[in-house]
Order: sequence, then C-alpha cells, then structure tokens
Amino acid sequence: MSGIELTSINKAFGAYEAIANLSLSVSPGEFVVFLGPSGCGKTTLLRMIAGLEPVSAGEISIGDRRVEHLPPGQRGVAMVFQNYALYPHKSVAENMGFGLRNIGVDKATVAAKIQEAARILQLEALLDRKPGQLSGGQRQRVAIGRAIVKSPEVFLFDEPLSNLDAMLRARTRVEIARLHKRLGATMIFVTHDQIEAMTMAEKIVVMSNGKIEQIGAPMEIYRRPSTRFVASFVGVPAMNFLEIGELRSEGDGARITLGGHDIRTAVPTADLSGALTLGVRPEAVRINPQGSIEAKVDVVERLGEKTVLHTQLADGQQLIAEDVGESRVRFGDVVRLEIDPLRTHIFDGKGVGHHPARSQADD
Amino acid sequence: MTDMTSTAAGMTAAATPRLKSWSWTELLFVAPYLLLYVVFLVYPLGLGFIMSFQYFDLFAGQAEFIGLENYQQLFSDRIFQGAVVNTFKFVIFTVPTFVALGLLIALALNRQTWWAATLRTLFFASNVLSVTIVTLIWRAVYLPQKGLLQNFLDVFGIQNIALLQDPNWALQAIAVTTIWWGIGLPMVLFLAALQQIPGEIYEAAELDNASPWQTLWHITIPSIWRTVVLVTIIQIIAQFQVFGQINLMTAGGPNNSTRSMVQFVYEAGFRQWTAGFASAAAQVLFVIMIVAAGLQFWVSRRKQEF
Amino acid sequence: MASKTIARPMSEQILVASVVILAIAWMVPLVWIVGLSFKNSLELVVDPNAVFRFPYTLENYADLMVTSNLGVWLRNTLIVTVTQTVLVVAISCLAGYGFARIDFPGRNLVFILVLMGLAIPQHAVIVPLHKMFNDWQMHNTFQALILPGLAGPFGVFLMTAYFRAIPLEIEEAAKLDNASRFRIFWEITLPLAVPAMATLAIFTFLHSWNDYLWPLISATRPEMYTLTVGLAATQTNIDQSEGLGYLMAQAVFAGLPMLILYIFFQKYVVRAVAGAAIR
Ligand SMILES: Nc1ncnc2c1ncn2[C@@H]1O[C@H](COP(=O)(O)OP(=O)(O)O)[C@@H](O)[C@H]1O
Ligand SMILES: [Mg+2]
Repeated sequence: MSGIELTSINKAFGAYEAIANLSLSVSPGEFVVFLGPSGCGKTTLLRMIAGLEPVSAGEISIGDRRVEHLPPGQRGVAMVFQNYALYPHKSVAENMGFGLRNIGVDKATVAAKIQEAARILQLEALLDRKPGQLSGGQRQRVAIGRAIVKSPEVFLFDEPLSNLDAMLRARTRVEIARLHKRLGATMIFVTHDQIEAMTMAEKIVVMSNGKIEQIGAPMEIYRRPSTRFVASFVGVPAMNFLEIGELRSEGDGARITLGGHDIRTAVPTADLSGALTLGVRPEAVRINPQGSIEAKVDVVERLGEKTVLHTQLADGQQLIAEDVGESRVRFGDVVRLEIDPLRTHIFDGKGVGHHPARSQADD
Repeated sequence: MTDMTSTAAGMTAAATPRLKSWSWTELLFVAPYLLLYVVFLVYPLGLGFIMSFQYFDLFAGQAEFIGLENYQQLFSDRIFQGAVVNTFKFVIFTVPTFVALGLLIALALNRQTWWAATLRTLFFASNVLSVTIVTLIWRAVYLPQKGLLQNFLDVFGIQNIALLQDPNWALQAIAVTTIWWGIGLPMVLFLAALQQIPGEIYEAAELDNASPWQTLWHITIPSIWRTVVLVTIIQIIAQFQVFGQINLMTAGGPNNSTRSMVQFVYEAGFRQWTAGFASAAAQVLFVIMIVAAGLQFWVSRRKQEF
Repeated sequence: MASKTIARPMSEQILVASVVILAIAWMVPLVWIVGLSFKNSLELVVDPNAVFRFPYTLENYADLMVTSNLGVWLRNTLIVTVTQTVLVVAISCLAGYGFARIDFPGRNLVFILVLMGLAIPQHAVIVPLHKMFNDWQMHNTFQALILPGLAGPFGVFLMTAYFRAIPLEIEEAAKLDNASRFRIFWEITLPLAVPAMATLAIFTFLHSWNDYLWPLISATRPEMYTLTVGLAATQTNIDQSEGLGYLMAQAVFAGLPMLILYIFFQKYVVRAVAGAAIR
C-alpha cells in the first residue's frame, strides 16, 4: 500500500496547457475520486500517474519512490480503461495472466492468481471466453480482474462505469467499493458523474480547466463548496443561484433583500466583496405558509420520495424548491417558501464560497 | 518541433531523467524498410536524374557529362514525339471507356443476386492474369486468318482483317485488350461507391416521382462523383504507363504507330543501350506521373464533392 | 424490398441485358483459348474452325510437361513471389508499426517522404536500377529479381494506416502489464492486424506473380526466366507458329493458379487490388 504525492505538475500539449501547477497528496489505502466535467484534464492526470503520458514539469511519487521517469510497468500501478482495452484475441484467463507472465511469475502462481481474481469477480465460468463473447458488464469485470491479479499498490480507474447501463452501474459501484475494503489498496477513480463521486469516494478532488477546485470528503464538498463551480457541479437538482440586491449584517449572518423579499442567512459578512450571489440547495428551500418568499410554480417534478418544484420569483429569477413526495402543489400555484439560513452560501465576486460558521452548520 | 524543446529541457534538468517515449532500439522497426527504400527507390531516382545528363556506355562502364544534350536530342526526336502522342491517344482511347463501361457494369450488377455476383466475378477475373497471358490470348484473337475475330467476321463476309499489323488500328486493338484486362477495377470501385449511397435517398426520389433517368443524373451520379474523378485519375496514371501489352503485341510497330513513352524508354535503354538518353525520357515520364499523382492525392483527400 | 412487387423499369432491363451480353463477349476469348489448348496444333493449321469440333486432346498439356521450360519458370516464379510476399509483409508490418506507434523525432517527416514514394512509377527508375545490378554483377540472380520489389511503399502505407486505427489503449494496457515494445508488437498488436496482412500478402503475391518489366530486363538467361518472361519469349513468333494449341495450353497452365487463387480468395483479392488503386 502506497500513497501518492503529486507536486507542481504541469502538462502542456503543444501550446495548450492541460494541467497547470497541480499538487495533490493521496494517503495510502485511500479511495480518491477525481471529479470534473469532460475535458478538464482528469484522464491526462491519471495517465501521468500511470506513466502513459510524460509530465511537462513536476514530480510524482508513489510510496517513497520518485516515478515520473519510470515506464508504466515499473510504477506498481494497474489501470482500468474506460473502454476496458482488453486484448481482443486473448481469452479472459490470458488477459488476466499477461501482466504476470511478463514479469516471469511461474505458471502455477499465475494460474492461482487468476483463479482467485475470477472467484472474487465471479468470472470462473468465463475464463476460456474471448472478450468479444462477453457482455459489457463481464468485460468490465475482466478489466478489473486484469488489474487485481497484479496486486498493484495503486489502482487507477478511468470512468470505468460510463459504458454500463444504469442498473449495472449502480451495482458495479457497490462492487468496487467492496473491492476497495477487501484489498485495502490505494485507488484513484476518475468520473464526471457526481453521484459516483459522492457514493464511492473517501476524498473527492473536484477539477475544472486543469486545476483543482476543491479537495475534501464528499459531504464537505457538498456542504461547503469552496467555489461556485463546485457548488454548481455537485448536487442534483443543481444549487440555486440568486443575485443579491442588498445585504446587511444582522446577528451572526447576512440578511439579504432579494426581489423585494427578505432572506436570513447564517453566512458571516466579514469577507464579502464584489458582486454577490446567494447559493441555496433545493432541499433547503421548503414550502412554508409563513415563509418570506412568494413564488409561482412553473413545473412540478414528482420523483416519488420527494417533489421538485421549479418556481419563479416576482423579479423573474428561478428558484428550485423541494416538497414531500405527496405534495399537493400544482402547476400555476403561488406558494410561500422559506430558506434554511444554516444551509445558505454566498459566493463573492471571484466565485469563492462563504458558508455559515462550522459549529453551527455541522450539527 | 516538440522534440527540440523536450531535448532542451532534458539537458537543463539532467538530474531528473525523463519518461522516455522512444528508444534507439525501437528504430529497428523502421530501419529495414527505410534501408530498402533508400537503396532501391530513392537512390535510383537520383541516379536516373544524374544519368539523364550523361552519355553512358553500360558495357564499358563509362560515363561522361554532356549537359542537356540528351534532352535536346529527346525533344527533337520524331519517334519520341510520336510516342508522346501515342501515349496520349492511348489514354484517350481507354480512360473514358473504363469510366463509362465500368460505371455501366457496376450499375447493372449492384444487386444481391447470384447472377450479379457471378458476373462481377467474371468481369474482375481477367484482372488477375499477367500481361503475358492476356496478350497471348488477344494475339490469338487478332491473329490474321486463324484468329477468333477473323472467325467471327467471316460470318459477315469480312475478310483479311489484321488489326495489329495495321498502323491505323493497332493502338485501338491494344486498347480493347487493355479494357478487357482491366475493367474489373473501375467496376469494383464504382460498386463500392454505389453501396455507400443510403437507400433512403432512392426511396425519397421514388416518392418524388423521379424517373430512372432523373434518379441516375440527379442522385446516383452526383453521389459518386468523387469516385468518378478518382477512377479517371487512377486510370490516367495507369494507362499513361502502358508498356507490357504494347511490347508483346506490336513491340511499338507497325511503323512506330503504337510506341508509348515507357516502350520508348525500354527500347532506348535496353535495346539501343543508350542509358543516359533513356533516363532523360524517364525523367519526362516521371514529371508527368508526379503531376498526376499529386492530382490523385488532392482529390482523394478532399472530402467534399466537387 | 417494395421493388419486388413493382415492375422494374424498361431502361433497367435494357441495361441488365446489355451487361449480360457484354459478359458473354468477355468470356468468349477465355473459352476459345481453352478450346484451342485441347486441339491438335496441325489440325488448327488446316482449319481454324476445328476448335468447334471433336476430337479434343490432352497432347498439348503432355508436351508442355516434357518439352517446355515451364516447370523451371514456375519454380522461379514461386521462389520470387513467395519470398517477396513474405518479406514485404514482414518488413511492412515492422515499419508500419514503427510509423504508427513509435514517437521518434522526425517521424512524420520521414513518413511523408516514404508516402511520396507512392508516386514514383517503377518505369522511372528502371534504367538506373538496371545499372546498379549491373555494377554489382547481380543480374540473373534471385536477389536481383526479389530486392527491388521490396522497396515499394504501399505495404508500409497500408500497415501504418491499419495500426493507427487500432485503439491505443490496448497497447497502453500492455505497457502497464510490463510488456516490452517488441512483445506488445508481436503478441498484442500484430495479431489484430491479420486482415490487413492478408490483403497485403494477396496484393504482393498478385503483383509479383504478374510482374513483367523488371524480370524482362534483369533475367536474360532462360533458366532464370519467370513465367511471365518465359511466356513472353515463346509467343514472339505466334504469327508463324504452328503450335497455337501448344501456346494456348501454356497460357492456360500459367493463368490457372491465379484464377484458382482468385476464386477462393475473391473478397481479399478485390479488396487488395482496389485498396492499392485508391491508396
Ligand atoms: N494527446 C493530446 N493532445 C492534445 N490535447 C490533448 C491530448 N490529450 C488530451 N488533450 C486535451 O487536454 C484536455 C484534457 O483532456 P482529458 O484529460 O482527456 O479530459 P477529461 O478526461 O477530464 O475529459 C482536453 O481539452 C483535451 O482536448
Ligand atoms: Mg477522460
């Protein structure tokens, strides 16, 4: 088990800077998810760790070894590719055994390791098949099996679930989480799907445009997004953003006037500057006859366990609220809404997030 | 480009070795071919260029620079001029026929039936025969008195046909042989193009009450226009280099009426053993070929219709 | 589908009918020479129409086995063609892989220079090539017949394009599996390129078997002739020849292997020829 240390990594493709001065540390045995929109550099970063792509500048250490000059095979990492990259003409068993054969492991040990991996991944019956004869989910497991047999110090996954259907994706998510517990190896998992990130990660690294936006535990990222980008990228339905008209300090937090309505927040006003935006997640916006906000319901989405209300304020701004599953609200209704002050965020002119003081919010 | 910067960076940061993207031993992949390419294609090309400015005696192994004399002699050579004209004539006889006939056959045989498959096999079959066999067959066909053609014409009372011995007809006779030999290629290229046309277009045309002619002119031909152009250029390049059929059927005769440019190079180089002079003629041929190949490259890289 | 029930238009029927007639015309010379090859030559001298009547005989083919050099020429052709095919495929696979996958400096420039070779016609270098082999005193050897045919860039072009189309991830997975460069080539990528190798092999075989100009120039001694050159030498006096049946038996004998190959591998042959033409 090894940690990973990235120091001041830069990566340029010609004139295009894909990764800019990125530093990151991953603890031994940790499950880290790189989360970000397509094209933000997740794959590039992963490939640099794997040794498939040279760094333009910076240092990479795995365990206590500097590795940025080592070829991929010598870094002690295994990678599961988005499209699996199985060897099409080799059987499942040969696919899994290839890496061990190449480092001169004896036949008996190779066979034993293949059996072990096949047992864990329920591939025993498929060992003689070719990848072309497997379903998407089975191929996916073979790709993971190919990684497991090498007992690597670090597992790298590049969007491994994106080619699976929704049901299988949910199941495989759980399987990978289980695998992590069982093997205890360091794992880095790349995805653009925030649900995957939230459900699997011990630590999420949110990326955008080749930079790290925020590093933190899933709930930390969810509750205290450090930038407006993170706030908007994590959470479904997405966080509401409302332009703030007037703002004054009252008690612990800012009191805001917004489209004629008065909204209380628990966000301290001390560091706020520039054009401010109020951020509030839909689940913190509730129907309340005594609520201070009046809104007209545009669209009602019934999800079963809850109901999502798309509403419009008097000044035209959109506000998404949540109600119980059995909500009586209907299209066209005018409702009163209330915002939970402890779950509000204010983003300043630079997009930096400001949150209620920790002691209050973490109850 | 990027290589420069990476080596430069590698020098300054010598302490930290970089991830290598290639190693010297890996050049062994390309080395064997590059060696052959240089020795048997690039070097002869250069050598031919130099030889074209020399008087060359192959047997004595002597060479002497004579400047542009070979070229001067070449351009004033009646037979060479005739060869250029004959070559162009041959291209004009064959290429339009290849395109039109190839397209016609492809249109007729573009269907999933056993007889269409059989006929496709038949039309392409002559393609795999060597030029010697083809000419053997067709010399027998054209044979005066005994040939198949004469046999056939006897039915109509036409006597004493000797096409290959007739300066007015020999080149056309060779053109017919060439088309018999090579029609398979344009046919398969057109078939491939026809199969790329989505069937919905035809259904839409049918709904629009288009007649077969309108469908052909307004849908089929425009859809495969790129292939028409490509086939034309491919055939121009191929027919410009006509040699085997001519050498075997008439050897350039009668009365130089079928002598082509390649045939001229061959005769000059390996019958008269005037290697320098032959090289000069080869350079002219080469320039024409390069232009045609450039045209082909340009057309085949163009994704858009013309 | 619907067209089954709808009558085909007149114009199309005319088109199909003319192509069928054309096909018959295409076949007639072939059938005719096969007929000739089974006729006694003297009988043909007396009456060319004898070909349409019995008796037919195998004597021309029997003569072929005994009197002609066809066996030697066939052997020479096989040696040259098989060697050339094997070498072209091997060398093109190596080079194609190199150009597709190895990031050596200047790679793209070198590759473009190689591709430009596609435009060089054999005829443009034939005189200097002859001189080179003359200087090396290598004419009338198998090396001379084989070597120049290995320099054409088509195989490299084909294999490079094919290797480039194979997903890079498969090789990257192999790199992570600690495979050496050659092992990746040999065990991972090459097996995936078998269809392209088949196309190239068939094209090279066909091209080499039918090559005429270079063997004509280089092989001047009858015992070094290939089939094409040998047949060319025997047909020079066809006009005076009394042995028309015998000559046609030679043509049939020499053409048959290619036709059989074609019938069996038609799909590959067509793909190879068409692919080489388009490039
Ligand atoms: N080999 C390459 N050459 C040039 N640009 C590249 C290359 N690989 C990736 N990029 C660019 O770098 C950026 C990050 O790509 P990538 O790491 O694949 O993003 P992600 O995996 O987050 O979707 C993209 O803009 C992409 O176009
Ligand atoms: Mg990616």
